[in-house]
Amino acid sequence: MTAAESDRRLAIALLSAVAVAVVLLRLFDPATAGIFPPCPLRALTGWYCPGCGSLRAFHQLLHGNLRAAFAMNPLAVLSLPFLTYGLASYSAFAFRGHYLPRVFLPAVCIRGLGIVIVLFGIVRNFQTGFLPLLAPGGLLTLR
Amino acid sequence: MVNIPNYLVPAILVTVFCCLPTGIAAIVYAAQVNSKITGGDIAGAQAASRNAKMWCWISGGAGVLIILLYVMVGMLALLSHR
Repeated sequence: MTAAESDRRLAIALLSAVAVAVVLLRLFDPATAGIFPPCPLRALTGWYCPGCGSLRAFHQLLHGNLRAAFAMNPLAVLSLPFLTYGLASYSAFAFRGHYLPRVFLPAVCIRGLGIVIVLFGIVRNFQTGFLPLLAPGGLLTLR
Repeated sequence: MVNIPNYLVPAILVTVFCCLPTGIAAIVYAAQVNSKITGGDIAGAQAASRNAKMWCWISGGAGVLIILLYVMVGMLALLSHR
């Protein structure tokens, strides 16, 4: 299999997975329907990870509830446009041979992004002060 | 600008959804790709790019494995409760 062929296959697999996920997340609410696997870290340890709440967030987004989505996982909602663009860019590369226009990020920004993800995962487990706001649904307690 | 993929988007995805420690390794290599391109070290950037890709696949594999294990344990628990 050539590199171009394997890129096309991977792109097709990713796009199909996204399509299936969109349909399932539009139809079922991960907060109540038992068909989505819970976060393994949460199930084993009770701790939230940086991704916890993202399925519920995407479900809310697909129903137009930006506020509820943001409360479930602000990081997931904020990164969704960039991730979507990344997938679109990769698909353009796989099917047409060229990426979409890209911004060259300095290395320090990439490291910073990694640190933000890890810190977000840690901080949302804190139970004191204003920090529980970052746990899934925490922002909804604000009125 | 040289066209060396840094696999940042898949690295972030696998960090959040699959396996955090190995995903972080992928992000670190993604950063290394860009810092080496900036420094003019093309061979180093290509090596970092390969490492970033490898850690993305390792994290993705680990994520799938964890979910499979989880489903299996869940099924066993269901069966043993009958």
